[in-house]
Amino acid sequence: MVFCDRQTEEDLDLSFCFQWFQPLTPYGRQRKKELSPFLPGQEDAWQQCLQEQETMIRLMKDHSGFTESLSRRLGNIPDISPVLRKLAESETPQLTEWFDLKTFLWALKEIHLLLQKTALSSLIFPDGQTASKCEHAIRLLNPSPELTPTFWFDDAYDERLKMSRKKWRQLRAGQQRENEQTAQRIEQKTGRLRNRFGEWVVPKKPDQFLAWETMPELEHVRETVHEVVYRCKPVGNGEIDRLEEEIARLEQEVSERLVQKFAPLVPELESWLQKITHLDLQCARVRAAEHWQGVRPRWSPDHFRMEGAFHPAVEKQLAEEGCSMTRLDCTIRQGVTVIIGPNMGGKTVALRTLGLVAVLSQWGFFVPASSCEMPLFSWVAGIMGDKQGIRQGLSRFGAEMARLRDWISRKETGLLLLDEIGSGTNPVEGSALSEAVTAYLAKQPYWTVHVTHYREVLAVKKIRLYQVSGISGRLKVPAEKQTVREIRQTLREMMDYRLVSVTKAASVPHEALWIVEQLGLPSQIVRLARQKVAGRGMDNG
Amino acid sequence: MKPIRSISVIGLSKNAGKTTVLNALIHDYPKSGFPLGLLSMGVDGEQRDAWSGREKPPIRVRKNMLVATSAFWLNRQPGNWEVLQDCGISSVLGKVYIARAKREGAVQLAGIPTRNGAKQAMRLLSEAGAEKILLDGAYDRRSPSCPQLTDASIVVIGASLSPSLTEVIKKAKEWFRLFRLKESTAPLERQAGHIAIKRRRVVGVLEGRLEILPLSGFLELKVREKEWIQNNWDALAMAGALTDQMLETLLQHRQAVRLIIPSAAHLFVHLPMFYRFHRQGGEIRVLEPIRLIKAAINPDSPEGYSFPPQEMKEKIGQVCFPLPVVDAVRDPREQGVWDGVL
Repeated sequence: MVFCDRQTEEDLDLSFCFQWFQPLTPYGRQRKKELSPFLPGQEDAWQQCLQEQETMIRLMKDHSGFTESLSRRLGNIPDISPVLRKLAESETPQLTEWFDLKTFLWALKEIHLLLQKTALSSLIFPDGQTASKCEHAIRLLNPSPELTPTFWFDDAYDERLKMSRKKWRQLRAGQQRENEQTAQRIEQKTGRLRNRFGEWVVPKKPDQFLAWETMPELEHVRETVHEVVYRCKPVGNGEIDRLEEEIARLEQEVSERLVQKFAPLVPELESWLQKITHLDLQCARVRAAEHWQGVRPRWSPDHFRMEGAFHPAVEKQLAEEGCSMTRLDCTIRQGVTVIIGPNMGGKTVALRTLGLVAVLSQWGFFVPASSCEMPLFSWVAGIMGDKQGIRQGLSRFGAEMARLRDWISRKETGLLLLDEIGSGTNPVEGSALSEAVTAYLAKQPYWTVHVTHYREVLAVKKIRLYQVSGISGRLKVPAEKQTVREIRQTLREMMDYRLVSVTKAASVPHEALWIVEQLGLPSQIVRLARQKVAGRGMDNG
Repeated sequence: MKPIRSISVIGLSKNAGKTTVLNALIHDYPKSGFPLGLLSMGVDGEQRDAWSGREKPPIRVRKNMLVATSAFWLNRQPGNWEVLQDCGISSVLGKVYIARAKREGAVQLAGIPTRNGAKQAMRLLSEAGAEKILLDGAYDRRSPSCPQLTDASIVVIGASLSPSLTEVIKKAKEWFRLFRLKESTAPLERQAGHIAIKRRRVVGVLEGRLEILPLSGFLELKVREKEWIQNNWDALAMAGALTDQMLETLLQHRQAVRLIIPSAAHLFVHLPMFYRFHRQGGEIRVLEPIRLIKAAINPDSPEGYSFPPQEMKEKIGQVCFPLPVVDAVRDPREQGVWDGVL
């Protein structure tokens, strides 16, 4: 079952935060694609995951350079899946695959050393024997006393290999000596020097090259219209060839013996891989959450409370415009929570922040807030204007309703975020629908947050209410003397974005007409609109 | 003069004979001292030449030499190599590793496809102890010879360039004329060049001051001429490719000035246009000249035809004077042809 659909992820701008979630190992990168959120019933695992990150953060603060050291070692972890597959099937890995395995073990040993004597050691490597087992495996790939991170089919693996190589070197040196003597004799005899490749390049004139053709020590290499090239016939190649075959056979034997030794270690290697992958993901989570100075969310079965929450993407955008973001304090409970407030009052931002905090938290991240307590939801869905549906040919209204239908058919408890439900159709039906949906959801086991303008919604029983504090004061400089950007900035300064919990809203704030007036729309329009509002019995705020 | 720690061997055409020159350098490299590091860039280095499909000659290495090549080639002779490091680079034939030769033998160098990859492999070869690095350059003449990659370059002119020796000499002459552009040494011009690279804008030099023009290249000159034409610039610096069309546009606007470009690799100009620009008073200079240290010739083409070796050497010597010319196959080995190189 889907935890959070793509549309909701887009509406919450989850990718903005996920851009910083970058595991360093091939396994971490793969797991990132397959990662699943923590769901109800997994509260202990969720808190354990967060506890580990808390320990990591403490370590990073206490030990300078810890993050860099760990990141460097994680970055050295190669993909050893092909080696493990071969070992499990008793196939022989190749030279570079043995090297990859050794690199993995080497990095594991260094990570273990780094985490040793820290609280993380027991969390990541609960088995106290990891270090000795890892050392043993490295020794299998490093038969010489001196430990190095490199790999080759060392002479120390096999005495026969060592002797065969030695003999090959001796024979090769002898062959080269003999070749050199023959070449020197030919140089003396012909008065022609070899080139650096041990070849004689002889002009193709009959009086010259024919004599070379008859020399028994030489072989013909190649010729052009201008020249013929000769070199000494190789001497004693038979024995060297036989030795080369023997050496290759012994190297293969060494490799096969390694397979026998490593095959029983495959389950252990796989378990280490899982631990490293887990560590990598945890480090990646910590590094990502550093970007929003994340705080550990705590479990609470009966409320979703956050203080000082913010959306990092919105905060960044505001910072670029020279503004600061009002942090969000609110508590959500099972049932329906309605948020009302003026236009441009930040209601949708509050909704997105709520959703982002919930989703990040359930993916195991620290969240952008100063504190957070929440239950685990089975799903998080936002109905915030379905652009995708519009592209597919559905109207915005149709697309929203289709998604709402799908989500509220779910039996499990989820977090449902509704932004102005029903606003995509005519106001009479829209308000009725908004009220009906709210009334329906108030009786369901979901945690619904509904941002709305429709006053009819306030009549629904058993809902909790938040109100955006709203605008205070008047424009100091008349709107017609300001640019749109300046007006926006001024309105921001005048707007109190804080959510205030109210037991009963006296009225739905209608500050839209005030805002359009300040924006400089013709006064006739504003006046007429106010008359219409008054005629319908709504106060104009 | 900066000591030469890395050399790229580049060919004027496919099958020019780069591997022979590389093998000559390897052969003549002093047997004592720190090892040589070897790598290849581009699509070269596979068993068969990517352009012609012909089997390529292997590189011959001595014990302790270092290579950056793919798993595919190292695993073919597993006993010959000690694998030192994963470069974190992929080639057509798999991951690229740094390895040390445990005995003499032959190897193919897998082509590293990107400049950044080649830089990374060169850094790792140095860290592994390579005293000098030889880069088997790609067929594309423009990328590997960039001074940013190696300290110096050797250019190989092979018979494969053309079946006509006259044509080979003509093309070599053009190449040397364009690729031996003088370095810009005036501080203000150099500053203009660096700003042009950083800002991706044309930068004008006029009476001791710089002006960043609202143009990214000279192709925009025609449409935005009012913004720059009023000045008689002392020099103009740009970051991108310089083409015949751009020079033509400059000449049309009577702007035969000194042009500053990052390196000869940015020059996509044919010789007749180049000469025309110069005749009318223009000049082209580079921020980073290619340090050519030798020209090597190969009078034999894999197509089967050959040129008289001595004649080719003499004629190439004339067009690339004062650059020394070597013939790795015919020059006697005792001659010390790599003096100042190895």
